[in-house]
Amino acid sequence: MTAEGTGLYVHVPFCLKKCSYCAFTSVKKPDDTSGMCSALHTEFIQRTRNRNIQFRTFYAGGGTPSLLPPEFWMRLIGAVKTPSMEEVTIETNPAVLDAVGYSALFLAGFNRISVGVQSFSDMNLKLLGRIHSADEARESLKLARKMGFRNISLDLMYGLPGQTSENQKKDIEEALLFMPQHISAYDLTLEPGTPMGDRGEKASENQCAEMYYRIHEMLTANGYIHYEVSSYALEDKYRSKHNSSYWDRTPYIGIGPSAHSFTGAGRSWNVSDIPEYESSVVQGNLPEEFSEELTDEDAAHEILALGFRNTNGVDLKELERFGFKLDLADLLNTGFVKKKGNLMIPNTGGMLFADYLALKAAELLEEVPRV
Amino acid sequence: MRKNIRNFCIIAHIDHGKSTLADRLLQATGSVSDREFHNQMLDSMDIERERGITIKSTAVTMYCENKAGEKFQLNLIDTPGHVDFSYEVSRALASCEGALLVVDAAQGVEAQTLANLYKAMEQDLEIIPVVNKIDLPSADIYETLYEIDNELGLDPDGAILISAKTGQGIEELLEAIMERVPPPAGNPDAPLRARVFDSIFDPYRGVIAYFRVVDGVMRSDQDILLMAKGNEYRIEEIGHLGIKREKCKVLSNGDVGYIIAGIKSVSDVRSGETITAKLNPSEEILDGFALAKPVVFSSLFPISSEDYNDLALAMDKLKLNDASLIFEKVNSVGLGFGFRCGFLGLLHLEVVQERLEREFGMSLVLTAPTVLYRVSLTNGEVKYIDNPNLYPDPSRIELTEEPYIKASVIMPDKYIGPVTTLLLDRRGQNYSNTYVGARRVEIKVDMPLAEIVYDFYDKLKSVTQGYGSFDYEASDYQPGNLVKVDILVNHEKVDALSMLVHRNRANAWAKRACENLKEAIPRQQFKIPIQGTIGGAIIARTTISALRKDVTAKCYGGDITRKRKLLDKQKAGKKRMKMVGKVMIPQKAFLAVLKRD
Repeated sequence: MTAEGTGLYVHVPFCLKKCSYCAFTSVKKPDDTSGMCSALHTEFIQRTRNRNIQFRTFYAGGGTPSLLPPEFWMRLIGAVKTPSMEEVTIETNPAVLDAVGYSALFLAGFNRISVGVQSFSDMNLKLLGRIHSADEARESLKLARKMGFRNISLDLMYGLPGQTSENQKKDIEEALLFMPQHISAYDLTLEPGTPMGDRGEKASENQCAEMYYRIHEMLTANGYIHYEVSSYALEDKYRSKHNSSYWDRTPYIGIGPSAHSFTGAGRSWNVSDIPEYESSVVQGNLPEEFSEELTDEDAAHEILALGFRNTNGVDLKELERFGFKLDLADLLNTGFVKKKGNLMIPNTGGMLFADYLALKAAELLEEVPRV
Repeated sequence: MRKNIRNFCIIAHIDHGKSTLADRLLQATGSVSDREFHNQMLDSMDIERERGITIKSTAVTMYCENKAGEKFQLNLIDTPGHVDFSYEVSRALASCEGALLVVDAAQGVEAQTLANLYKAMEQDLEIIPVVNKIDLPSADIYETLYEIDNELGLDPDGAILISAKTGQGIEELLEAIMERVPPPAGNPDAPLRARVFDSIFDPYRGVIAYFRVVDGVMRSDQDILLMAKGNEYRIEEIGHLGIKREKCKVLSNGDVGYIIAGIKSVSDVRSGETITAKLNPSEEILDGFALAKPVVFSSLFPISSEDYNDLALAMDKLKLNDASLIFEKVNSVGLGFGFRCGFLGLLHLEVVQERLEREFGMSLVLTAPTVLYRVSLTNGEVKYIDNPNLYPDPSRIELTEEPYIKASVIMPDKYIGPVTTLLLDRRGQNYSNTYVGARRVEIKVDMPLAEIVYDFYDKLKSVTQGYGSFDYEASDYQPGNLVKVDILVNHEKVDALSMLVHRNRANAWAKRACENLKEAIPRQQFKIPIQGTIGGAIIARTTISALRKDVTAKCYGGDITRKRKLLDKQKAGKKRMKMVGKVMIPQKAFLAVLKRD
């Protein structure tokens, strides 16, 4: 794992309050976060000791990573930073940071900030269980830019229960006023075990599909590149390099409770229980809950499950590397995919049917003799 | 010695404790050691144990002493209780002189008990009423004795009160069996005649047939003749049926035992067959031999067509152990190669399906079960049609007739309204009802067999809250005004979904079938019209709307394993669907057409 292009993900499992739709590992932020800070730092050292890893991306996610002190981030980024590092992102909640906070994160070494706006409607924010107002979100975006960030990503959600097309349009228009370098626009996903998931609250499938096309129309008309089912970049260079590494199967190391790692040949993830995580790290053990080596078929399935979600598409040469030599020509009849050299690239409609395309392709895999 | 043999069986409604009683008798007579003992000793198939039903008849020999110190040999013949296997039941009853009629003290007399009691009475068996579960707080012994007197017409003073669970009353019951069941009749000096009541297939030994010697003596070095089939065999082994098989040299009149004689398939030695000696054979075949006729037909297809050869092998193997199963190869436009099969009834169908899936690892599509129609053509020809797809063009049909049954339902009188409605809704005719006890009514009705092949039992159970019981016998063919309804999925006819339906109900039937299919078929990338047609005219339609999206929005945080597992799961799920044209149809949809609400 000395390959260039490795990503580092840091999972911070703390929030001021958990949102109603969120299924990620997080708890209410304790008064003293020093135990977690030292565990994260220790795990980073455990996983990278004696290995010359050239990290290219760094991503602080959660949870609400900006709840940890800027000095912690400064120290960690200092330990990680190599000349190859291109993108250093942190997620923030508009309710958490003031001008000083943004400034401190910028000085700590972050060069990209992802602001969890979700919506510019107070009613929507309340419904989602967000702790900030629309005004705080507007203020937050302005502060981030003012305090030095030149690469800002804005999160929006659609497909909320009761959401009208008018309401979604307003959200998009207001997001465009800020012209962020990147917009992530997610269709609300109902996760079992979350309050919204258990209540089954969501717009109809038809409405969600319409909203997907609406945001595509409005953002691309304003110059954004729709490069992944839920991701838009103002220019190619503003594509999220870290997230892209998940989709193109670049290795990454994840530290923190429930964080996932990928070596290129195998995957593993950490325990999600926070005390168990901390004590495991303190005792000098890797806090892993599970690890697996991928079979060729697993790898091929991953390529398919990920490839049709973004405009890089599925690389047939890559499938062949795992023993599956096929042309997937049947997929061309769906009208969702175009072939470009070795690549099978989904169009806008195709990305909305990525799971369907993956399943169809996975079935085709079975029909070819292994090479 | 013959005078100290007792052959008996146990008649009981499902859940009234037949298997538990059998277990207790085995323990009380010391026929099974504590180490060997497990529940439901006599049910050997997984499916019997799991569902608490008996499918195959078997027998077990026990030894015991009466109070006077006399030694007795008790042969318990265990029989299926379900109407699908009533022929096997009657063959087993014919091998007994007595029957224990078990009634649950908390539930009272039930209808299946009654049907089997009548069969036992026809065979002149000594009936010992047994009131079981007297340890339950809800047991009402006096009411149960009253019902035994009034509804069954048996002497309540002769009833033995037991709890098969605790063992209470078991000694008394054994005493009653030895005292009251007559010793076997039959002539020890006459030529050998033995009645087969069931047989199983053992992969190492071939067929093992269970029988009762009626007259004469069977010796282990004899050559035998199966009188109905006409085949001869050399005996390899005979013996008693203990918990294990116990080899012996001689079995005489009254004995129950097994025979191994190089018989290849259970079809060669059907229940009711008469075994005699090749030298000095009997002149007279034992009465009551008949081939059980299939009454319900359905087609089985492998989910993926390349598994056809495996299915064919599995069917052949199953046939070795199930003489009632008949089948022939069919080819369906949508489903490829499969088998058209005949079954004794719906339970038999389920058992076959379950055994194919469980014992042979097959994934199957089963088409809607139908009955055997009799069609007279204009050219004078008469055809029996067991497959809607072979139904002749209406212009060539003079008359179509369908099989009828005489049905009997017994239930507490408060359910008479809903049961009557149900029976009339299922085209019941010649309706009559009579009180069979203080608060119990028996309804008799003639109805088409087709009306009970799907979900009738469930419906009856639900309208009587489980207190209604049902029995029937086949009667005759009666004219039916039938039409063939075809189902088109995405404009293509799916032959496996075609059904013959009474004309007056065709519209309602087609509408419901379309709606059920709409529920059962998952939405796909395109709109799927579903139409019901008669001879090309559309009489019902629904549309499955197109799927607008199929992607999970988020894929962050690096949890790719979850995405992959989802794909693996969907891929496995799709293997249980059948592609018909460009539409994926799940297994369950082929039966969904029959669902009534």
